[in-house]
Amino acid sequence: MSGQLVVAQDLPWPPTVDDFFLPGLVGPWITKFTIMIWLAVALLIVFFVNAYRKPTLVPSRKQWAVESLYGLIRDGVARDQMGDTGIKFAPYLTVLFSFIVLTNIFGIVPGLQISPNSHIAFPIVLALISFVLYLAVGVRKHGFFRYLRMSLILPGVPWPMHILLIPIEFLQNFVNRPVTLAVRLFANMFAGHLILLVFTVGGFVMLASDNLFIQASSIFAFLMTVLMTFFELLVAVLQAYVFVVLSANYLSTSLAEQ
Amino acid sequence: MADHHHPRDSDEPSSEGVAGAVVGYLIAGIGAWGLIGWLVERWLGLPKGIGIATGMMIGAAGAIYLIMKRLNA
Repeated sequence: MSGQLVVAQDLPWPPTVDDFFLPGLVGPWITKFTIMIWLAVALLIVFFVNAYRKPTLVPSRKQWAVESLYGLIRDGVARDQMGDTGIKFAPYLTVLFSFIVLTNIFGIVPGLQISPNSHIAFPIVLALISFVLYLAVGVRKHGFFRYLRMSLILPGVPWPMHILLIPIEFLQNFVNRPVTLAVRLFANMFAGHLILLVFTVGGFVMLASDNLFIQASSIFAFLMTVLMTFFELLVAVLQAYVFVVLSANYLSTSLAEQ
Repeated sequence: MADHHHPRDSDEPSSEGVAGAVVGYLIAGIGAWGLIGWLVERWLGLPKGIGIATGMMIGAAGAIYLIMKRLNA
């Protein structure tokens, strides 16, 4: 029993900000998140470049994997949301999707165990990129004032309604969209991290109790950890997909004709 | 692979987009007009809560109108 108590006492509890600063690294600028982002970028570059260095007509297995990923995003997201004009955004959406999936999956990789997207700063940057992109696309296609008028003014309603509707449209198009894009990803990954932490730490605490029944019950906490890990895999892919679909959807409203 | 994609009109919003837009418009409507109502309430020195409540209701109505018009729902 004392051995099990040691297990619980070895947990670094409560977690502190210092946990993000890995030992032996220089300066306050390099945290665990920094390393994970570098790792994700490096892995993606290696994956894509390696798979597509010598493209052949009959694809190799690696090339097939990359092509089906790209094809999925191009046909299932870009073309589905924006029509054929959207295909030029498929590379951006594919890279965005792969990056978010990979960094989300870091949340359940042993040793990394937290997704950079659990830190609001990273989803904010990703959402800002999509936000600036769809604004820029809209302004380039329609011109600044016409794009503003398209975004804010609903055609074919009596003019007094515009006083009511313009603040709503403004908040929806220029504030809500980027904010919800960032917060949705952040909250999902953060909540997932907390759930895994609660079940794991809870299991150890129960194991360290001196009541045999509570010790035996800890098995359910650990089972839930395993179950939730698979659930987190689902959430990781799903949230990346949602992020990309909504980015494409916002782009499509910038490209719309009327 | 067979070419089974169906290019849609850009007017026709996708279902994911509509679902997000409906909730977004409601939040935006209640938020924007709630804020305006709150400001008016403070500016005119009205009893607490009147302006923000009225604003939120106006905003919700505006948002529903907008959803009906913009998304043809």
